[in-house]
Amino acid sequence: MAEHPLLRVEQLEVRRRHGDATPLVGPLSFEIGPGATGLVGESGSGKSLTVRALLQLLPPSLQSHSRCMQFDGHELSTLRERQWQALRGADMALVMQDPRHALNPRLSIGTQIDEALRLHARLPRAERRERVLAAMHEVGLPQPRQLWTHYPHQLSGGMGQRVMLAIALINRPRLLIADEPTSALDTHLRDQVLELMMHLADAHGMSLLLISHDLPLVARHCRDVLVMYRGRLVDRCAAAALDTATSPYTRALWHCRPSGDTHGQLLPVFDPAQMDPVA
Amino acid sequence: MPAPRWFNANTAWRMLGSSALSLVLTLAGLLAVTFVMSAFSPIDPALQQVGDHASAATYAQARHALGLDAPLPLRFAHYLIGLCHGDLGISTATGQAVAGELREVFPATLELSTIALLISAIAGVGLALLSARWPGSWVDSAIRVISLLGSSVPIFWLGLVALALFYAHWHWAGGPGRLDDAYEYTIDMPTGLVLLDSWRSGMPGAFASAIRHMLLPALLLASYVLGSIARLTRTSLLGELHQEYVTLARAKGAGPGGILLRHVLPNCLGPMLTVIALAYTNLLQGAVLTETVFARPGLGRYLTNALFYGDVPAILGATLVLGIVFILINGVTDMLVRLLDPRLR
Repeated sequence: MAEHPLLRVEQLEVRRRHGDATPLVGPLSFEIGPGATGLVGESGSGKSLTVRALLQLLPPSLQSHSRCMQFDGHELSTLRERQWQALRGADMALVMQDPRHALNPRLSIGTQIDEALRLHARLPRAERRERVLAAMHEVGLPQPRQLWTHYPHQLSGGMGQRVMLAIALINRPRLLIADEPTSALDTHLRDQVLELMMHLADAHGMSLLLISHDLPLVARHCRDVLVMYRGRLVDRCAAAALDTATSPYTRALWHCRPSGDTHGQLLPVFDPAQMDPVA
Repeated sequence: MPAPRWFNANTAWRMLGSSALSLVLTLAGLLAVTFVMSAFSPIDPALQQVGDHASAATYAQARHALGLDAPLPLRFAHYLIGLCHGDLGISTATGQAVAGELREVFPATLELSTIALLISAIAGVGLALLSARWPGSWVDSAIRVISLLGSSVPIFWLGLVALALFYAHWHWAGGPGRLDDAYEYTIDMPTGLVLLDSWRSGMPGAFASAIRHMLLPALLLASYVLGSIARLTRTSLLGELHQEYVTLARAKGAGPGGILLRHVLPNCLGPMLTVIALAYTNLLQGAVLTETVFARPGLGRYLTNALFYGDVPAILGATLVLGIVFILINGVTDMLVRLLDPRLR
């Protein structure tokens, strides 16, 4: 990468706090941004744990450790929990997979978006309200004023995901981390929400880390791709170069797509014995 | 902020209507049960009235006078008609109308247990929040011990110890009774609620005395259910912490305290209200012992005396009142839980 990376991670590991010492994830070293980076891998490959570790959101039974984690030139691995709280949501924001579970069922939409703003900015109530309404408008939520007092169960999945996007974007973070943001949506909505996210990330100069198990989707939208397998990073390449990937896992993943052309043919099968993890 | 759009008067009324219907049905069941209990109780009110040595004719006359020789359905009808007029029968022990006696003693019990409920609910939820904020820490352990002590030490023993220490030894709290002797017979009790009546009497000393006398029994009674409220609320809070919305709240930058109060607590309202309602019914039962130990007038002491005298109308009247209160508490809780959950509104 020619430009300066926004986030640089070296030797990131996630382990159980008690029990065996073999890491669940890592050691991983990678760089993110500027622009959009995709993180792909099959279920259980450690994508979500990696994301949680980047935001220090691991459950109490797990812990992460890294030799170096630099965000915009600042070292994060020495931050205290209070400093992480100031960083999370303001500089690094998260969009989760399923709005039906990730939004609080007891709080109104307006309250939940407003909270993200309230936690990081000391603004008068009226101004906060304007900002929230603007954010709702920006992510394409219709009639924000009416929607303010609605509850998550009254929204469709697509609208729920737009609410989550508004929560993530309202503080104009430098890095937006989207953990399988479209897996809970149907195909039609999937592209709509993703297009919106790409567009907004681009418009506000945000870097994006897009986690997905859908390699073609990542290839369409991202500049660089990181490939994970069994907790390790097995490949990293430009999205444009996926056709000619050298890693056997990436090749298998890339070519393992049924289509009209492959009709009647056996899809490639990945042989784990070929694996030689990098990093 | 505009008026909440969720409040749909139509659904709210339909919901209240269905709750009211189930209340009425339960109440009908309660009436039938108390009537059957009175009809088949081994204590014969006619015999109680005329005594063992009365002649058969006198006995039959007494039975007729009490309406006991009528067929059961007719007796049930009479019982219901009496109830509609607020007639719960005549106490065989005192010769007074049971309804009138209950009207005098019930407010005292309601007052004591409501104050105990307020104390235990506020303290219980507060302790649960502390426990859930630092689970597994010494704070959590200390709270566990406190709650276990409160609910496992017998209330009559704790009551006697508290009286011996705080009243007899240190004179911090008021002794037995609801008021100091100086006020006990000088204050009018139109409502039967001692705090309210002593406040309205215009004598500051009387109100202070009522509070001093209320302190120990209310605290003891509260400690009796504090444990269950604290433990169950803590479990419910900790269970919610695994939800994904908690992860999103942390990702927004919220701290652990804010998450507990703003995100998790509202989601635990349902279980909390249920636990507190259950505690309320337990408190009304616990009031029986507390009132006896502290020599306070109340439904508990009334019922205990009625049981000793075999006073069937008094026992059944008190049972009916307690039953109605239980049904009302459960019904109101049910409605509150539904009204407070945006998904059920």
